[in-house]
Amino acid sequence: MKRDRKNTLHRRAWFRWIRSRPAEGDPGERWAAEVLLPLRRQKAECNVVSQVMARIAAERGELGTARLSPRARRLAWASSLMLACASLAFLVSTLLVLVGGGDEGVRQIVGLGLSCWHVLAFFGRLAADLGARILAGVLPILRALWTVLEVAAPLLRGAGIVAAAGGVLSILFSAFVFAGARKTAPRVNFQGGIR
Amino acid sequence: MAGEPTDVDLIREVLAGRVERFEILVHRYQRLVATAALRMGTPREEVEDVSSEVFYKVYRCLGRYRPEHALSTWLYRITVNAALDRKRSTRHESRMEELSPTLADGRRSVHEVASDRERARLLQEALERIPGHYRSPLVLAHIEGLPLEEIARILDLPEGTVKSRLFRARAMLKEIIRRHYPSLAPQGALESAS
Repeated sequence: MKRDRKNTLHRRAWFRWIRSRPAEGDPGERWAAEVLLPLRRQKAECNVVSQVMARIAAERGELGTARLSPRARRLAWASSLMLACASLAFLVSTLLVLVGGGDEGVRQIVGLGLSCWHVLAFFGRLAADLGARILAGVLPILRALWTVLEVAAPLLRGAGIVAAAGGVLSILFSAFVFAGARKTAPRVNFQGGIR
Repeated sequence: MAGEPTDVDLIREVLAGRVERFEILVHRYQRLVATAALRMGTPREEVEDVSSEVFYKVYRCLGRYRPEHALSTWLYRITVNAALDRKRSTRHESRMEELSPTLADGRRSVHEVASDRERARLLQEALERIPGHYRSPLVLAHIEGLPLEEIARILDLPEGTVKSRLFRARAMLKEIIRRHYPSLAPQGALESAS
Protein backbone atom coordinates (compact mmCIF):
# COMPACT_ATOMS: atom_id res chain seq x y z
CA MET A 1 0.00 0.00 0.00
CA LYS A 2 2.80 2.35 1.06
CA ARG A 3 4.77 1.41 -2.03
CA ASP A 4 1.81 2.24 -4.27
CA ARG A 5 1.50 5.66 -2.65
CA LYS A 6 5.20 6.27 -3.05
CA ASN A 7 4.99 5.32 -6.75
CA THR A 8 2.06 7.66 -7.30
CA LEU A 9 3.92 10.54 -5.68
CA HIS A 10 6.95 9.74 -7.78
CA ARG A 11 4.86 9.74 -10.92
CA ARG A 12 3.21 13.03 -9.95
CA ALA A 13 6.61 14.63 -9.45
CA TRP A 14 7.64 13.50 -12.91
CA PHE A 15 4.40 14.79 -14.37
CA ARG A 16 4.94 18.15 -12.67
CA TRP A 17 8.48 18.27 -14.00
CA ILE A 18 7.26 17.59 -17.52
CA ARG A 19 4.43 20.12 -17.20
CA SER A 20 6.67 22.85 -15.84
CA ARG A 21 9.17 22.53 -18.67
CA PRO A 22 8.78 25.26 -21.27
CA ALA A 23 7.60 24.29 -24.73
CA GLU A 24 10.34 23.28 -27.09
CA GLY A 25 11.66 26.25 -28.99
CA ASP A 26 10.16 28.85 -26.69
CA PRO A 27 12.64 31.72 -26.61
CA GLY A 28 11.20 33.07 -23.37
CA GLU A 29 9.34 36.13 -22.18
CA ARG A 30 12.30 38.49 -22.25
CA TRP A 31 13.03 37.68 -25.85
CA ALA A 32 9.39 38.26 -26.84
CA ALA A 33 9.29 41.53 -24.90
CA GLU A 34 12.42 42.76 -26.63
CA VAL A 35 11.29 41.73 -30.11
CA LEU A 36 7.80 43.15 -29.77
CA LEU A 37 8.92 46.46 -28.29
CA PRO A 38 8.25 48.50 -31.49
CA LEU A 39 4.68 47.24 -31.53
CA ARG A 40 4.26 48.10 -27.86
CA ARG A 41 5.19 51.68 -28.66
CA GLN A 42 2.44 51.92 -31.27
CA LYS A 43 -0.57 53.99 -30.22
CA ALA A 44 -3.77 54.72 -32.08
CA GLU A 45 -5.74 57.91 -31.65
CA CYS A 46 -9.25 58.17 -32.96
CA ASN A 47 -12.50 59.81 -32.02
CA VAL A 48 -15.48 57.59 -32.64
CA VAL A 49 -17.84 59.15 -30.09
CA SER A 50 -20.01 60.97 -32.61
CA GLN A 51 -19.99 57.99 -35.00
CA VAL A 52 -21.09 55.54 -32.30
CA MET A 53 -23.69 57.85 -30.81
CA ALA A 54 -25.15 58.59 -34.25
CA ARG A 55 -25.45 54.90 -34.94
CA ILE A 56 -27.13 54.29 -31.60
CA ALA A 57 -29.48 57.23 -32.17
CA ALA A 58 -30.39 55.89 -35.61
CA GLU A 59 -31.15 52.49 -34.14
CA ARG A 60 -33.25 54.01 -31.36
CA GLY A 61 -35.14 56.08 -33.94
CA GLU A 62 -36.06 52.96 -35.87
CA LEU A 63 -37.12 51.21 -32.70
CA GLY A 64 -39.15 54.24 -31.66
CA THR A 65 -41.32 54.06 -34.75
CA ALA A 66 -41.66 50.31 -34.41
CA ARG A 67 -42.69 50.40 -30.75
CA LEU A 68 -46.02 52.30 -30.84
CA SER A 69 -48.23 52.16 -27.78
CA PRO A 70 -51.55 50.27 -28.16
CA ARG A 71 -53.48 53.50 -27.63
CA ALA A 72 -51.61 55.24 -30.44
CA ARG A 73 -52.17 52.23 -32.67
CA ARG A 74 -55.94 52.31 -31.95
CA LEU A 75 -56.03 56.02 -32.66
CA ALA A 76 -54.18 55.53 -35.94
CA TRP A 77 -56.59 52.77 -36.98
CA ALA A 78 -59.71 54.82 -36.14
CA SER A 79 -58.42 57.92 -37.90
CA SER A 80 -57.50 56.00 -41.05
CA LEU A 81 -60.97 54.39 -41.09
CA MET A 82 -62.62 57.78 -40.71
CA LEU A 83 -60.45 59.16 -43.50
CA ALA A 84 -61.46 56.26 -45.76
CA CYS A 85 -65.17 56.88 -45.06
CA ALA A 86 -64.78 60.58 -45.76
CA SER A 87 -62.98 59.82 -49.05
CA LEU A 88 -65.75 57.42 -50.09
CA ALA A 89 -68.45 59.97 -49.24
CA PHE A 90 -66.61 62.60 -51.23
CA LEU A 91 -66.33 60.29 -54.24
CA VAL A 92 -70.00 59.29 -54.13
CA SER A 93 -71.18 62.88 -53.74
CA THR A 94 -68.98 63.98 -56.64
CA LEU A 95 -70.45 61.23 -58.83
CA LEU A 96 -73.99 62.17 -57.81
CA VAL A 97 -73.35 65.79 -58.62
CA LEU A 98 -71.95 64.82 -62.00
CA VAL A 99 -74.90 62.49 -62.76
CA GLY A 100 -77.41 65.09 -61.56
CA GLY A 101 -75.69 67.73 -63.68
CA GLY A 102 -76.27 65.62 -66.81
CA ASP A 103 -72.62 65.13 -67.72
CA GLU A 104 -72.39 62.98 -70.88
CA GLY A 105 -69.23 61.08 -69.90
CA VAL A 106 -70.64 60.22 -66.49
CA ARG A 107 -73.89 59.03 -68.08
CA GLN A 108 -71.91 56.69 -70.34
CA ILE A 109 -69.90 55.35 -67.39
CA VAL A 110 -73.06 54.78 -65.40
CA GLY A 111 -74.61 53.00 -68.39
CA LEU A 112 -71.57 50.80 -68.76
CA GLY A 113 -71.61 50.05 -65.03
CA LEU A 114 -75.29 49.05 -65.19
CA SER A 115 -74.65 46.78 -68.19
CA CYS A 116 -71.78 45.12 -66.34
CA TRP A 117 -74.00 44.68 -63.31
CA HIS A 118 -76.69 42.97 -65.49
CA VAL A 119 -74.12 40.63 -67.01
CA LEU A 120 -72.68 39.79 -63.60
CA ALA A 121 -76.16 39.19 -62.16
CA PHE A 122 -77.01 36.86 -65.08
CA PHE A 123 -73.87 34.77 -64.68
CA GLY A 124 -74.32 34.71 -60.92
CA ARG A 125 -77.82 33.34 -61.31
CA LEU A 126 -76.54 30.68 -63.75
CA ALA A 127 -73.82 29.62 -61.29
CA ALA A 128 -76.36 29.43 -58.46
CA ASP A 129 -78.71 27.24 -60.56
CA LEU A 130 -75.86 24.92 -61.48
CA GLY A 131 -74.76 24.61 -57.84
CA ALA A 132 -78.33 23.84 -56.75
CA ARG A 133 -78.68 21.11 -59.41
CA ILE A 134 -75.37 19.48 -58.43
CA LEU A 135 -76.28 19.59 -54.75
CA ALA A 136 -79.70 18.08 -55.53
CA GLY A 137 -77.93 15.14 -57.23
CA VAL A 138 -75.10 14.67 -54.73
CA LEU A 139 -76.96 15.16 -51.45
CA PRO A 140 -79.06 11.90 -51.62
CA ILE A 141 -75.86 9.92 -52.38
CA LEU A 142 -74.06 11.47 -49.40
CA ARG A 143 -77.06 10.75 -47.19
CA ALA A 144 -77.10 7.09 -48.31
CA LEU A 145 -73.37 6.76 -47.63
CA TRP A 146 -73.86 8.15 -44.12
CA THR A 147 -76.63 5.60 -43.45
CA VAL A 148 -74.42 2.73 -44.64
CA LEU A 149 -71.62 3.94 -42.36
CA GLU A 150 -73.99 4.11 -39.38
CA VAL A 151 -75.21 0.58 -40.02
CA ALA A 152 -71.73 -0.84 -40.64
CA ALA A 153 -70.07 0.88 -37.66
CA PRO A 154 -70.54 -2.02 -35.13
CA LEU A 155 -69.29 -4.50 -37.70
CA LEU A 156 -66.18 -2.41 -38.39
CA ARG A 157 -65.53 -2.05 -34.66
CA GLY A 158 -65.76 -5.82 -34.21
CA ALA A 159 -63.42 -6.45 -37.14
CA GLY A 160 -60.91 -4.02 -35.61
CA ILE A 161 -60.96 -5.84 -32.27
CA VAL A 162 -60.48 -9.20 -33.99
CA ALA A 163 -57.50 -7.81 -35.98
CA ALA A 164 -55.91 -6.39 -32.83
CA ALA A 165 -56.32 -9.69 -30.98
CA GLY A 166 -54.80 -11.49 -33.97
CA GLY A 167 -51.81 -9.15 -33.88
CA VAL A 168 -51.22 -9.75 -30.16
CA LEU A 169 -51.47 -13.50 -30.65
CA SER A 170 -49.01 -13.36 -33.53
CA ILE A 171 -46.50 -11.41 -31.39
CA LEU A 172 -46.83 -13.93 -28.56
CA PHE A 173 -46.39 -16.84 -30.93
CA SER A 174 -43.28 -15.24 -32.49
CA ALA A 175 -41.79 -14.66 -29.03
CA PHE A 176 -42.44 -18.29 -28.11
CA VAL A 177 -40.84 -19.58 -31.31
CA PHE A 178 -37.84 -17.27 -30.88
CA ALA A 179 -37.30 -18.39 -27.26
CA GLY A 180 -37.38 -22.02 -28.36
CA ALA A 181 -34.91 -21.33 -31.16
CA ARG A 182 -32.49 -19.60 -28.79
CA LYS A 183 -32.53 -22.60 -26.44
CA THR A 184 -31.66 -25.04 -29.19
CA ALA A 185 -29.28 -22.82 -31.24
CA PRO A 186 -25.53 -23.71 -31.27
CA ARG A 187 -23.29 -21.29 -29.27
CA VAL A 188 -20.58 -19.40 -31.09
CA ASN A 189 -17.50 -17.98 -29.34
CA PHE A 190 -15.65 -14.81 -30.43
CA GLN A 191 -12.87 -16.72 -32.11
CA GLY A 192 -15.43 -18.08 -34.56
CA GLY A 193 -15.51 -21.59 -33.14
CA ILE A 194 -18.67 -23.42 -32.18
CA ARG A 195 -19.07 -24.67 -28.63
CA MET B 1 -18.37 67.17 -4.77
CA ALA B 2 -19.12 64.06 -6.76
CA GLY B 3 -16.20 62.34 -8.51
CA GLU B 4 -16.23 60.80 -11.95
CA PRO B 5 -18.93 58.14 -12.36
CA THR B 6 -17.65 54.58 -12.41
CA ASP B 7 -18.10 52.32 -15.41
CA VAL B 8 -20.72 50.28 -13.60
CA ASP B 9 -22.69 53.43 -12.69
CA LEU B 10 -22.60 54.59 -16.29
CA ILE B 11 -23.70 51.21 -17.59
CA ARG B 12 -26.60 51.17 -15.14
CA GLU B 13 -27.65 54.62 -16.30
CA VAL B 14 -27.47 53.61 -19.95
CA LEU B 15 -29.53 50.53 -19.25
CA ALA B 16 -32.05 52.68 -17.41
CA GLY B 17 -32.57 54.68 -20.61
CA ARG B 18 -30.03 57.52 -20.37
CA VAL B 19 -28.29 56.53 -23.58
CA GLU B 20 -26.33 59.78 -23.80
CA ARG B 21 -24.23 58.56 -20.85
CA PHE B 22 -22.71 55.93 -23.14
CA GLU B 23 -20.76 58.77 -24.70
CA ILE B 24 -18.60 59.02 -21.57
CA LEU B 25 -17.74 55.33 -21.79
CA VAL B 26 -16.78 55.63 -25.46
CA HIS B 27 -14.67 58.67 -24.66
CA ARG B 28 -12.99 56.86 -21.78
CA TYR B 29 -12.07 53.69 -23.67
CA GLN B 30 -11.74 54.64 -27.33
CA ARG B 31 -7.96 54.95 -27.17
CA LEU B 32 -7.62 51.54 -25.49
CA VAL B 33 -9.85 49.88 -28.08
CA ALA B 34 -8.18 51.59 -31.05
CA THR B 35 -4.69 50.76 -29.83
CA ALA B 36 -5.63 47.14 -29.13
CA ALA B 37 -7.18 46.83 -32.59
CA LEU B 38 -4.06 48.30 -34.18
CA ARG B 39 -1.78 45.99 -32.24
CA MET B 40 -3.94 43.02 -33.21
CA GLY B 41 -3.01 43.75 -36.80
CA THR B 42 -5.86 45.94 -37.98
CA PRO B 43 -4.57 48.35 -40.64
CA ARG B 44 -4.37 51.94 -39.35
CA GLU B 45 -7.01 53.17 -41.81
CA GLU B 46 -9.49 50.56 -40.56
CA VAL B 47 -8.91 51.11 -36.84
CA GLU B 48 -11.66 53.71 -36.59
CA ASP B 49 -14.24 51.42 -38.18
CA VAL B 50 -13.26 48.51 -35.94
CA SER B 51 -13.42 50.72 -32.83
CA SER B 52 -16.82 52.03 -33.80
CA GLU B 53 -18.03 48.48 -34.41
CA VAL B 54 -16.71 47.37 -31.03
CA PHE B 55 -18.52 50.13 -29.14
CA TYR B 56 -21.71 49.50 -31.03
CA LYS B 57 -21.51 45.81 -30.12
CA VAL B 58 -20.85 46.76 -26.51
CA TYR B 59 -23.93 48.98 -26.51
CA ARG B 60 -26.08 46.21 -28.01
CA CYS B 61 -24.90 43.67 -25.43
CA LEU B 62 -24.64 46.00 -22.45
CA GLY B 63 -27.26 44.01 -20.55
CA ARG B 64 -24.94 41.00 -20.56
CA TYR B 65 -22.08 42.84 -18.85
CA ARG B 66 -21.06 41.27 -15.51
CA PRO B 67 -19.73 43.87 -13.08
CA GLU B 68 -17.41 41.39 -11.32
CA HIS B 69 -14.99 41.80 -14.24
CA ALA B 70 -13.47 45.07 -15.41
CA LEU B 71 -15.09 46.67 -18.43
CA SER B 72 -11.68 46.83 -20.09
CA THR B 73 -11.50 43.01 -20.01
CA TRP B 74 -14.79 42.80 -21.84
CA LEU B 75 -13.70 45.47 -24.30
CA TYR B 76 -10.46 43.62 -24.98
CA ARG B 77 -12.41 40.45 -25.67
CA ILE B 78 -14.74 42.15 -28.14
CA THR B 79 -11.86 44.01 -29.77
CA VAL B 80 -9.78 40.84 -30.22
CA ASN B 81 -12.75 39.05 -31.78
CA ALA B 82 -13.60 42.03 -33.99
CA ALA B 83 -10.00 42.34 -35.18
CA LEU B 84 -9.80 38.62 -35.95
CA ASP B 85 -13.16 38.69 -37.74
CA ARG B 86 -12.02 41.66 -39.77
CA LYS B 87 -8.87 39.81 -40.72
CA ARG B 88 -10.85 36.76 -41.77
CA SER B 89 -13.29 38.75 -43.85
CA THR B 90 -10.75 40.94 -45.61
CA ARG B 91 -8.32 38.06 -46.12
CA HIS B 92 -5.31 40.05 -45.10
CA GLU B 93 -3.45 36.85 -44.44
CA SER B 94 -3.32 36.01 -48.13
CA ARG B 95 -2.09 39.52 -48.95
CA MET B 96 0.69 39.15 -46.43
CA GLU B 97 1.60 35.76 -47.85
CA GLU B 98 2.05 37.42 -51.23
CA LEU B 99 4.28 40.06 -49.71
CA SER B 100 6.60 37.66 -47.99
CA PRO B 101 8.87 36.44 -50.82
CA THR B 102 10.54 39.85 -51.13
CA LEU B 103 11.30 39.78 -47.44
CA ALA B 104 11.93 36.10 -47.08
CA ASP B 105 15.37 36.17 -48.59
CA GLY B 106 16.68 38.07 -45.59
CA ARG B 107 18.89 40.31 -47.71
CA ARG B 108 17.74 43.41 -45.88
CA SER B 109 19.81 44.10 -42.82
CA VAL B 110 18.59 45.67 -39.59
CA HIS B 111 20.26 48.93 -40.57
CA GLU B 112 18.11 49.24 -43.66
CA VAL B 113 14.92 48.75 -41.69
CA ALA B 114 16.15 50.71 -38.72
CA SER B 115 13.18 52.97 -38.19
CA ASP B 116 10.82 51.88 -35.50
CA ARG B 117 7.81 52.19 -37.74
CA GLU B 118 9.31 49.93 -40.34
CA ARG B 119 10.22 47.39 -37.68
CA ALA B 120 6.66 47.54 -36.40
CA ARG B 121 5.32 46.96 -39.88
CA LEU B 122 7.58 43.95 -40.38
CA LEU B 123 6.67 42.62 -36.97
CA GLN B 124 3.01 42.99 -37.82
CA GLU B 125 3.63 40.95 -40.93
CA ALA B 126 5.44 38.32 -38.90
CA LEU B 127 2.54 38.18 -36.47
CA GLU B 128 0.09 37.75 -39.35
CA ARG B 129 1.70 34.42 -40.04
CA ILE B 130 0.78 33.11 -36.60
CA PRO B 131 -2.76 31.63 -36.40
CA GLY B 132 -5.27 33.87 -34.65
CA HIS B 133 -5.75 31.71 -31.55
CA TYR B 134 -2.00 31.83 -30.87
CA ARG B 135 -1.56 35.46 -31.89
CA SER B 136 -4.21 36.81 -29.49
CA PRO B 137 -2.51 35.66 -26.25
CA LEU B 138 0.87 36.78 -27.58
CA VAL B 139 -0.40 40.28 -28.35
CA LEU B 140 -2.28 40.56 -25.07
CA ALA B 141 0.66 39.35 -23.00
CA HIS B 142 3.69 40.91 -24.64
CA ILE B 143 2.26 43.97 -26.37
CA GLU B 144 -0.69 44.93 -24.20
CA GLY B 145 1.19 43.72 -21.12
CA LEU B 146 -1.80 42.05 -19.49
CA PRO B 147 -1.44 39.47 -16.71
CA LEU B 148 -2.12 35.83 -17.44
CA GLU B 149 -5.39 35.62 -15.50
CA GLU B 150 -6.84 38.60 -17.35
CA ILE B 151 -5.85 37.12 -20.70
CA ALA B 152 -7.54 33.89 -19.67
CA ARG B 153 -10.68 35.87 -18.82
CA ILE B 154 -10.56 37.84 -22.07
CA LEU B 155 -10.12 34.77 -24.23
CA ASP B 156 -12.41 32.67 -22.04
CA LEU B 157 -9.78 29.96 -21.70
CA PRO B 158 -8.15 28.18 -18.76
CA GLU B 159 -4.87 29.73 -17.64
CA GLY B 160 -2.96 26.56 -18.51
CA THR B 161 -4.19 26.73 -22.09
CA VAL B 162 -3.20 30.39 -22.36
CA LYS B 163 0.24 29.55 -21.02
CA SER B 164 0.78 26.73 -23.49
CA ARG B 165 -0.49 28.85 -26.37
CA LEU B 166 1.94 31.59 -25.33
CA PHE B 167 4.83 29.11 -25.41
CA ARG B 168 3.76 27.91 -28.85
CA ALA B 169 3.20 31.44 -30.14
CA ARG B 170 6.65 32.60 -29.00
CA ALA B 171 8.25 29.55 -30.57
CA MET B 172 6.37 30.21 -33.82
CA LEU B 173 7.37 33.87 -33.81
CA LYS B 174 10.99 32.96 -33.22
CA GLU B 175 10.89 30.50 -36.10
CA ILE B 176 9.17 32.98 -38.43
CA ILE B 177 11.69 35.69 -37.56
CA ARG B 178 14.59 33.30 -38.04
CA ARG B 179 13.34 32.19 -41.44
CA HIS B 180 11.80 35.30 -42.95
CA TYR B 181 12.77 38.38 -40.95
CA PRO B 182 16.26 37.81 -39.54
CA SER B 183 16.73 41.56 -39.28
CA LEU B 184 14.10 41.66 -36.53
CA ALA B 185 15.92 39.27 -34.21
CA PRO B 186 17.50 41.03 -31.25
CA GLN B 187 21.22 40.56 -31.33
CA GLY B 188 22.34 38.12 -28.72
CA ALA B 189 18.86 37.35 -27.43
CA LEU B 190 18.15 34.83 -30.16
CA GLU B 191 21.40 33.01 -29.64
CA SER B 192 20.91 32.93 -25.90
CA ALA B 193 17.36 31.71 -26.35
CA SER B 194 18.37 28.98 -28.77
